Amino acid sequence: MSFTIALAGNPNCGKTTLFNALTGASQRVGNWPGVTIDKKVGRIKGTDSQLVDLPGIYSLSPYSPEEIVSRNFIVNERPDAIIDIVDATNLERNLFLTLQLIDMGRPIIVALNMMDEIERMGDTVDVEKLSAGLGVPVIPISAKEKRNIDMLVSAIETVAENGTAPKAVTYDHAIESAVEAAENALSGKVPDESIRFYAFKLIEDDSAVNELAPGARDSISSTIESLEKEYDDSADSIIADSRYEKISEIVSGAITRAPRDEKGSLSDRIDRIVTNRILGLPIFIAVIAFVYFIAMYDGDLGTSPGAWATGWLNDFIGDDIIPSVEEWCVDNGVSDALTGLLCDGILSGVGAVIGFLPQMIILFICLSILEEIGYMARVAFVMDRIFRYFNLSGKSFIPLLVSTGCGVPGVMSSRTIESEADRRITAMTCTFMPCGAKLPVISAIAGALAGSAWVAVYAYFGGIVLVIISGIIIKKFKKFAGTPAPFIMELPPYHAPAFLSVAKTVFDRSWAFVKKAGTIILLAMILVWFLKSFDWSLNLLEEDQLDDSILASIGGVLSYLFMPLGWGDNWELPAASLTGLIAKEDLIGTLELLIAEPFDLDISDALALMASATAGKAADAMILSFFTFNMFCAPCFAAVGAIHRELGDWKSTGFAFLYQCLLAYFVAVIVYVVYSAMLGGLDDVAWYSIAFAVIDFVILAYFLVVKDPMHPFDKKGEVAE
Amino acid sequence: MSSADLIVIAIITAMAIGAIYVLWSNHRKGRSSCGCNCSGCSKACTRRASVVRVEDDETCDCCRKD
Repeated sequence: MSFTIALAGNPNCGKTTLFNALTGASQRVGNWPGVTIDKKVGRIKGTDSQLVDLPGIYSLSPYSPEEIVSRNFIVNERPDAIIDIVDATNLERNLFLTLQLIDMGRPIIVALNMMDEIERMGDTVDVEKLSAGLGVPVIPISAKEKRNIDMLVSAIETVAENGTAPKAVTYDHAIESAVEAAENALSGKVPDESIRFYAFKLIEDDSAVNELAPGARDSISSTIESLEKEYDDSADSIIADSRYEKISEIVSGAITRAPRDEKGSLSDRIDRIVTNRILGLPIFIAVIAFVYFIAMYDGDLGTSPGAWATGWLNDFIGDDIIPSVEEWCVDNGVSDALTGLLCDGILSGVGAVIGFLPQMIILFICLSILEEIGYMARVAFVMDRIFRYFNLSGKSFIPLLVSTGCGVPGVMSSRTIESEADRRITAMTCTFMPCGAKLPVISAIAGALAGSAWVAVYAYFGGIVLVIISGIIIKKFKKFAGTPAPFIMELPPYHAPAFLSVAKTVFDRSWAFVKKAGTIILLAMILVWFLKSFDWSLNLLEEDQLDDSILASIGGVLSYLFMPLGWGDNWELPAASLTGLIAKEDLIGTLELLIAEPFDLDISDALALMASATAGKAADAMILSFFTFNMFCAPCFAAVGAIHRELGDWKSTGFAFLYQCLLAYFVAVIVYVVYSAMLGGLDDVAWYSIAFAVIDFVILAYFLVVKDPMHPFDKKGEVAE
Repeated sequence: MSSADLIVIAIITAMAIGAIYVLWSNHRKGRSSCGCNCSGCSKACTRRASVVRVEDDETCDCCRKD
């Protein structure tokens, strides 16, 4: 038979792993809570039943989008049965949701997950006692080891076929009396089978139930008042306490715990260090620096694996592939224009981007391992403390982490933030983080600055600092003002990275990069080659006539805009920044076509030469200014589209686009002038750059320090007009 | 125009048409130009997303064009 089975459970209890085990799917499993935000559907292997994977939730209260999605599905779709997956190592907390699911009246089975962990800790669970206490079947499983999965499938099909509602778990007489009164008040207004769930919610003053049955709570107000008087507490606290008392009663009889080490588990001991109030941030900086060091470093201390592999691939493309194709073209009499398009346009441009693939793979491996072992969840915890200090929600940090892979899902993941203001701010700013597409830019600029890893660390933490700065500035506007959304996050235990999970993440991201190189970047390189090879009369230009090209005239107009940033004298750099809006990698392809390939140099050397010829002692400052602007200005069109979908209108999207470009511009000018001064090259900096830097600094300081936040609430707690 | 020219033109045209076709096809399927699918994206959809059928298409609503 065909059934619809809902899979519900707390965040990070192994729900997605069980979903994959039951359906054979390969949904992403992450070692941080909240991997599943939407509900996903798959077919249970060997059956006709479909399994709906609901987001991880702690309760069925409508506090978060995840809880709303889960609750609405169970209430409206009425699945034939529910698999409630429970983390056996954390029974007390997990069973709170179980009791609420039981109240919903749908056939239910408890999948007691992580039994392998229980055995490893030396604990034992009496499954029969637990089942008797809850009044529902309990199947001990290990989703990770695929243990007892067949037994679970067989049991859930039986439960769904019988359609038997679970027996209600009962509480104190006073509570049961209140529930009975609430059930009477709700009779006929909610589905009969779930009336006990609604009754509890009515007592808890749940807004959704109050809307569903207007006046019902008023009709039982005297009952609730007497309940609150008897327990000397609010109704919702009474219900929660009673549930936990009941859970404690059930669990104490069912679980035997082995003696614990007084110092805590290994995870606890590691957490004491990595989430330490003082050490947490320096450790995070050191970890990220180390990751970029492995991926990119090429300097006095040696060559990192990533830099070595990228160097090899670049040499292979530049010294073997392109000359071979060029030789074939010459030998066969292919016209100069076509040879130029194929070799100097497509192969050089796309090859310059693809050459950075090894570094990207190594970076993705490192970041995936950090995420897989559970470290990134700790980073969110550490950053929450800092974000909160600046009146931002720590929840905003998760989109930033996601954005280090790609800005598009990063922007999308801002949807998990309940506060509308925080959500919009996060969607507008999370692309400040260096995504995978920016890595080739980082690597090329790092080479030009005779450093490497520190440039990447600058981009990473510069992105975080700009998010904080933006949060402070934007929150001073009434539309975005407000207290930050609360951030509750469970820290999952550390575990060894699963090879397949890391491999899949790395493959997905790397393959997406290769596909992008073969599509958007290829087309962009054809366009750039055309624009740099022809003048407005469509005459094919010689290599030494680049300054007469269409692209030169476009870059020339833009260059006035970038004069204060120190790199407006060279039209090639503004032109490259413009193509970077199509996809950030295009910036590298364009630089290859404009300043590197014509002079038979690599991009880093060409950039360094150009800078020293233009800016003298301030050469490095000019390169850093160019880098700063391109790292933090508006993202690629795909990410702008994602921002538009999140913000909902083009006016806000335009504001976000302009804001990002303007902030990047301001910061780049300040970086240019300050770094020039540090290098002793202030004499080579134009007066208007210094004037711009001072003005920018004053404007930023005004918004950051001087301007008062517009408090959305007055002293009475009412919304101020 | 030599035959070698024709071969090069054919190769470049095929690459360009192939790239445009892939982009257009992804656009029609609603796939994001970021190239990711939802199994590769840790947190992608919530409020406005509807049910995703994993066996049919791994792309969820958040990666679909509006």
